[in-house]
Amino acid sequence: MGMIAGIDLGTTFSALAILNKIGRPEVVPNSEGERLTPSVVYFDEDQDATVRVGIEALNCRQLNPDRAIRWIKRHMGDSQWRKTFGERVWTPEEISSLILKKLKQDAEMIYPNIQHVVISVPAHFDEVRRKATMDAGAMAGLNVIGIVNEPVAAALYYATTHDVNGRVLVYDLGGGTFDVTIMDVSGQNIQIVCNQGDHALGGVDFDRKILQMFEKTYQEQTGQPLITNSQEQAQYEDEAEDVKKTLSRRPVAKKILYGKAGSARVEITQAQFEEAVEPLVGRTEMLIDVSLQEAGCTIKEIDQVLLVGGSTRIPLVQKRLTEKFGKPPLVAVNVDECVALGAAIHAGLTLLRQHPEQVEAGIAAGLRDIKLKDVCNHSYGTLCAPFDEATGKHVIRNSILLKKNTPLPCEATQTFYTMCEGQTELQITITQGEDEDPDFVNKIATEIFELPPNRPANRPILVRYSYDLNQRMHCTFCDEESGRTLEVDFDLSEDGAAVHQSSIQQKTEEIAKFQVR
Amino acid sequence: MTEQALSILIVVLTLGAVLAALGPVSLRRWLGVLIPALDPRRFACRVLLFEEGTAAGCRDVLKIQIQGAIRAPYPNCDTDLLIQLTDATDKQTAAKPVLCRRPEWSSDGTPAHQYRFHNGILPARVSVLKDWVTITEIGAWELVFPRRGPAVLECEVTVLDKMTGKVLASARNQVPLLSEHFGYEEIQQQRLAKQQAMRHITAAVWQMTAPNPTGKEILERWLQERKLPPAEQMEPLSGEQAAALVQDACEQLAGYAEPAECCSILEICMRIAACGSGIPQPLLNLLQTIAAKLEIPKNRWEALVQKYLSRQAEHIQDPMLLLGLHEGMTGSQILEKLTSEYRKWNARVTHPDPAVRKQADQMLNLIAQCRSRFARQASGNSHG
Repeated sequence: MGMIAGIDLGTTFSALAILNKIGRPEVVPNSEGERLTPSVVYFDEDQDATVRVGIEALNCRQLNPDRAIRWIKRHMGDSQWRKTFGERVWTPEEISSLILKKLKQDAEMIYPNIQHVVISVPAHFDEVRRKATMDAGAMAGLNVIGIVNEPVAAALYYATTHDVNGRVLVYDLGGGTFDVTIMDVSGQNIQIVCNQGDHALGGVDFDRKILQMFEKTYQEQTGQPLITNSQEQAQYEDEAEDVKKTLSRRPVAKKILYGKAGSARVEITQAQFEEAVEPLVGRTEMLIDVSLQEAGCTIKEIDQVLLVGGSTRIPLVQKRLTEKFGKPPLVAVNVDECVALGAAIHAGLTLLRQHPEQVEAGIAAGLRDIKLKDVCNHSYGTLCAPFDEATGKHVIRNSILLKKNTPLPCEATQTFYTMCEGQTELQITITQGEDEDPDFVNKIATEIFELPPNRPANRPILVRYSYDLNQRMHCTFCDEESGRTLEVDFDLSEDGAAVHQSSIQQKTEEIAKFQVR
Repeated sequence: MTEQALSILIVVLTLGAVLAALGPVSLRRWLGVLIPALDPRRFACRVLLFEEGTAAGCRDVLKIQIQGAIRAPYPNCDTDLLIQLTDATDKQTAAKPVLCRRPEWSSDGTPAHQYRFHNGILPARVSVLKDWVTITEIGAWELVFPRRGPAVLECEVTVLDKMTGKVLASARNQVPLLSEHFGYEEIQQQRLAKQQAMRHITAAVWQMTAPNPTGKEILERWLQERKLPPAEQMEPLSGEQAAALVQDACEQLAGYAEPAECCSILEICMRIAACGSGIPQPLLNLLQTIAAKLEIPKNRWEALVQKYLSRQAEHIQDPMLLLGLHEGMTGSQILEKLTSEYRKWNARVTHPDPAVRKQADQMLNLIAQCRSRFARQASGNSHG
């Protein structure tokens, strides 16, 4: 039987954990002996078939930043993002697949045959980004059996390894994203109450604040700009990250900046840093407030706050959480690893549900008591044209059927009506998003539903959306009079389109030709 | 004055007094009845007006009747009837069409009233209708006259040979009535005035916006859809001229534009303004004037500001406007509002359109800065 693994494909660092013989997760070190692998890819100028991933790529980056890719996770699923190296054009999924390939390759040096994998994603990732993540896994030669939300994975790890009980808030501030999850934990029973995320908030944004301080100080002292090219940009980004880490341990960080106009001495105190990052920390507090509203509870009802992600080491974060909740948060030793560890547990649970015969008895026994109930990650709706009293006309609106954070499995129905006499077709648009305004929602599918002719207006159309435990969404549109139905399926784990499957297969073969080190 | 003339005068005056007492509707009805066909052998038509009671109240219905002789070329001739209603109010000009809202009552692809339908077979070569026969009833609300107010409706009824289309008999008659709604000539004039006003408003906003190809494209496409001349043909305007032009145009519009049209004008102005680089204060003032003059509801104005002007969030000095914050809000109200704005924009930050993502990101930064500033102020107040 192959190994069951969980992968935290992070914005700045990635990690892989496997489930051992008794169902306990363990992080597998990479070929450099590190437990975390930088999510950086570097394309050598002179070796087209070799790609550096991880610490080597990070080190090479300062030599030629134009050939290095960092923070690719922020572009996941973006169809516009492309990068050309040599003769090949790379997509975010393909770049991510190189990172995953490196993780798999290194782990297989210790545990051959990494077979069933769950990859973690931020809670706010939409279906497109989730699918892109699965595709990246497939291109890396992994059998991706599921996707798990990062805070859910972390919560799974905490709940199964620490003394956690009651209503728990997971504060996950990673390298590039921020998520909040509220859940009810009772022993090893975990019921997710709500997930909220901020797509563009993470450690890199804190680094940027320090970089801005570098630039300001240098400009003041020398009258010249500090950064004039991409090499310098890369160099000072790394130095800013170092300073941030220093400020998490010491009250002041000192640095000499060697720019083109000579050197300048910069001294940043923790107070200055905290003032600069205050809006970012405030933003995380707003997401907490949104999550509490969504969960219908108050701060006092939160029994424990769990920290996940390297950026939670920033003292201001912990200080503000302590002030807000009136008690210090629970910090695990390995805040950077708990997502990968939890993802491995999730992989075990998923395989137990899907193919119990493929799970070793020891692992099955280890996972037997864990019960996880998740929620719907997004709101799903359809476009309709209600009458607007204010303007006196019909306006296109997004009507939400399945609300975000509804416990899974879930189902919702609503009746809509045809608008015109003799209407023979209906344009069906399935949406994902929280907005009423159709310009701000993601239209994930559009279909034409043919209706019988010669009928008056206002014929009822019953719309039913359902979402199952395997994150499969099923939509049915039924013309109640004629009984005609239109069915639309969204399947994250198995893409029905043969074209898509063959394209993934082709890309997998292409990526297999690249040597990753 | 002879005795006979005196008695005629008394009859006329008495009749007039009775009619005046009966009211305008009855007057119109009587006027119709007072025009009978004098010769029963001559083909004639008439229009009677009567009131029909509905759940929503009374409304006028025209009853069209014919009487007299119809001569057919042969026995058992199959016939059609053609009814044409025209407006003969203005005696100086030819009769104008009366438009009809029901498509089956018009033909030739125009909305002008011209209703042809099957009449039946005339058994003899000469058929005489001794009494008035109703051939159709038309709701007055289905008709659109050239102008609102007192009108003279001319009705022409023609009997046609169904096979050859030859006219067998024809008669016309007139009836005075009151057109209660705007006529099509007035609607057309209003439409032109409205479009001109819309063009002035949008072009003024365009001139106050920093030149950019996207805004220009939006404006030109919008003008093109309304068959209006391009904005470039307008004289360049100073800020004051633009404001004055917008004031006049909005006042014109406010008279007869529907609320939906007013919202749509403000929306197109916002879209144009959002394409520039920044929203200068005079432009913002102009948009505020448009909203006020067109009586746009406050929540609609705020929604449009958020949707479009937030694309320029980094250039707008007053974040209160973008975030829907008002003077006099308490600390907890501000926090609550900022949290709800954060919730809204955070849900938009993963939108597939990069422009929306950028807009959402800018708004999230603005919200965070605003919250941070507010928290500092609150903390300063509590310490001070």
